[in-house]
Amino acid sequence: MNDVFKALADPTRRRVLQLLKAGPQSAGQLSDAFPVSKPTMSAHFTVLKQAGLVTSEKSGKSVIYYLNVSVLEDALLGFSDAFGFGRGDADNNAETPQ
Amino acid sequence: MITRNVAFSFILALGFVGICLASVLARSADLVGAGFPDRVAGVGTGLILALFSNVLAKRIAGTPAPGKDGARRFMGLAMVLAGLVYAGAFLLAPVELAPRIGVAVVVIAMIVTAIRFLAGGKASRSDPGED
Repeated sequence: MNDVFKALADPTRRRVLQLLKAGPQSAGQLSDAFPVSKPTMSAHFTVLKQAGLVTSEKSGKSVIYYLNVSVLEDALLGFSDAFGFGRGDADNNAETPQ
Repeated sequence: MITRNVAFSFILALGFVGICLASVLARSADLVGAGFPDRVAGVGTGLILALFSNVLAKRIAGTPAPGKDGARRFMGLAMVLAGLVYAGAFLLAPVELAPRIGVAVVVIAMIVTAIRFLAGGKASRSDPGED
């Protein structure tokens, strides 16, 4: 559960999860939606995978990410977004996944 | 090999049966009211339904078919809410009415989930972007 809180504390990772709610997306598509470098996004994906919030599947040259959240995690995601957890930190360290 | 999840489920089941037996014993000793064992069993059943439905979408093996991942999450949410309402009915409603309310809510959640799955399947079939 600690990993889940850590993953949800970052607004970029929360935005990734929100994008995945619309359906599975490739790493490239997700990266294009953010003004950060691909290695930074890759680190964000790793944190999300470690927390078990996303699953990935290789499809040719790209990696497809799927949202994999429980009801409680989905509710936590909603709460974190509503209350803007970690928004101040993200403004200071946009390029540093924590 | 017993995984951690199976071990947790066994312990939970044993605990639930133990609590139900204790409530029956308390009733036979006239320590609690007539409907108490039924209420304990009903609340426990509802909470267990909510607990396992919470991770339902996560535990289904394999990647979801196009349009079905949202339906999986909806299924989890519907069953969690149904479980909580089931538990709430046994906690608050008259004991003779609680099973009817609880079962009705669970059946409605299943029907709504089935409709959501069918609607998701139709939407993904008619979406030209999926091809």
